[in-house]
Formats: sequence, C-alpha cells, structure tokens
Amino acid sequence: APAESVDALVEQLSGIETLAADFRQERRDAQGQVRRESAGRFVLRRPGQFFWRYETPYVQELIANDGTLWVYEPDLRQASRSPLAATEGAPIAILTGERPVDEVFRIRHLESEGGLSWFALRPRAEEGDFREVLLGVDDRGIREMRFIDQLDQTTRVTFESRRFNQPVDESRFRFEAPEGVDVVEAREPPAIQ
Amino acid sequence: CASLLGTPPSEPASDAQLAAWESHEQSLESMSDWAFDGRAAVRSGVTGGSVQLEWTQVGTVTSLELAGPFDTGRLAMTGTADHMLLTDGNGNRRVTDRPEALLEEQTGWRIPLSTLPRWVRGLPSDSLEALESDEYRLDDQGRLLSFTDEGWEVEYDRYREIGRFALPHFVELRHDGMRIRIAVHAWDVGQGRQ
Repeated sequence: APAESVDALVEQLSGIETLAADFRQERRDAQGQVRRESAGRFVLRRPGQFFWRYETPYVQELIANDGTLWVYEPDLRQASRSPLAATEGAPIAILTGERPVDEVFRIRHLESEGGLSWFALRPRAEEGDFREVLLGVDDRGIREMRFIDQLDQTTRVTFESRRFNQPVDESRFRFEAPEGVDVVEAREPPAIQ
Repeated sequence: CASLLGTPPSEPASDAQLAAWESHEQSLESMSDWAFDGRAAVRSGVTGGSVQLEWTQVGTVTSLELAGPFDTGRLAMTGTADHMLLTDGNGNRRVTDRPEALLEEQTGWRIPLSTLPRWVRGLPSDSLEALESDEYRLDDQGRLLSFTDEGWEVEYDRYREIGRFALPHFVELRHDGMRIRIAVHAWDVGQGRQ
C-alpha cells in the first residue's frame, strides 16, 4: 500500500537510488488558468545527479553532476553552468537531494485520494521559491508533485512509465557543450533585495 | 562569435524591397495588443543565463515574466520603460522609474526595455528612413534581416506568417559586451487594429 505516514514517505523517498520516467508538467496561475504545459523525460541518480529534458514546447536540458547544474538551450545555442545548490529549494531537490527530505521540509500526511496518498511539505527555510509542495505517492513510489509558489501559481508534474532503481548509464549525467554553443557562468536568479 | 547570418556586403535595398517593406511595416505598426511566449539567453562577458520569457504588450504597457530553471527565480515586471512594478518569486515588490537600470543592477544584464517592443517584432525604434542605407538589410519580401539602431546590432531569423503579420521567431541583439538571443515559441497577435 502507498506510504501512509511521514516516516513511511521519508523511507520510500530515501529508498530511491535511481528513477527514470516521462513527465508532464502544467502550470496554473492563481485563478487556475493553465499558463504553460510542457513534457519530457528524465533520469536521476541520488544523490545529486539528474538528466532532465524538456521536449515540448521547446527542448531544454538540465543536467546535474558533481555539484554543477548545466542548463542547455539548443535553440538559443547557449549552455549555462551554475552551482547545483542554487536549486536547493527547487522541487527536483526532493528527488535528488542529499539531505533526508524531512530535514529540508516539514511534512504532514494529508489523505488518500485518486489512488494516491498525499503529503504536504513546507520548506523549513523561510526564503524559497515555493510555499508548499504536495507529493502524491502510490505503492510503487512518487507519482505526482504540485508546487505552490508565493504568488499562488501551481506547477503540477506527473510521472509516467516510472522505472525505479534500474541500472543507469552514467554518461547521461556528463555534459559536453556541442560545437558553436556559447558556454556562460550563470548568476543567481534575479530577486529583488 | 560569428554573427547569425554572416554579413555579406550590404548593398542598399532595392525599390522593390523598400516597397515591400512599406506594407510590411504598416501591418506591424497596426499591432496594438500582442504577446509572445519564448525563451531568452543573455550573455555579458563570461556570465549569462537563460530564462523562460512571457511578454504581453497592451498599447504601451509591457508585462513580462521571467523564470529560471524549474520555474525558480520568477520575476514579473509590468509598466512602461519609465515606470515599472517588479515582483519577484518571493512576493517582494518594487516600483521604479528606471527599470532598465534596476534590472541591470539585479541581474547584470542590460535589457533595452524601451525599444524591445518594436525590435522584437522586426521594427526599428523610429523608422527605416532614420537609418543609413548601409545600416540595415531587408530580405526579398521587404522584412528586416538585420540593422544597427541606437548602438545595438539586431538580427532576425525564422520569419513566419501569424495571421496577417510576418513575425520573426528568432532575434539576436548585441551591444558592447552584451548579447541577447530570443527564440519565440508562439506569437499571439489578437486582431491588431483593423
């Protein structure tokens, strides 16, 4: 049965060594209007390694390895490099983070709905991009994530054809900028002090 | 880096091209409310970044939303080039009469907010007549391929018909050490002024 307690969730998440899946992502504004839909696939290996590829509406690859996050934009012929810690608050850190999830988030078990057991996670750190993250898990593991940001916009990511703890090709996590691509050092994302 | 289209010697535009430009320009000038969804990559020296970019223009009022990887670092800006409200992902808000300067302070990037609403559609900041004949190149359908305007070099690619407007889906702008590339994924042109 899906995890029904916080401890069961923490155990299930830390039991993920690798995960490969397709994803669909949908962002809605505070009024519930769909603002953006995207889809793609990813493979990750804990801790700290992932290859996240958006395929629609445009191709973008986010590759994390030994503490570095690469963002590669083929259409813009640019790749930027930044410290992975910059996405510490980002939801991907729930799946690939080194620290146990209940150290980074305060977790409450909500209820089961739609065949999923739901949990609410609130970042313990004050300043963060997301006010709350909802996780839906089934008996195999994580199935859906919803992030609510400070402006009440909700991003929903649903995983399909999930493959947990299968062997993963290490080279997926190494990034080589192709010929003609500008490589830049990324600065902190813009925020108003 | 080499410019997008290479720069063959730019002979002055032919009369046919200029005539085609006239009607093309008139259609673009009739666009009052429009929007696009795309991505932008900026580079300033060795630093830079790429963002998801949603731009909405209602008359002279610009509203744009930038977001970094995984929708982190969201920044919303709305107003005109001399008066804008900025809201970041944490809900901090700030009004400024110098949005270009504030954006440069925050991100290190010089973004020409006052002229981009025209440049991103393939229009010069004033008019073609205001430019020297060797400062711009038109394609054979009279649309701008590249020009130098207010110190910026601007180049266009991937023009496509959107309703009755021909709009670029790739723009590169360069000024001193600053380079901006915008890849437009979708234009929304409403009806434009009839």
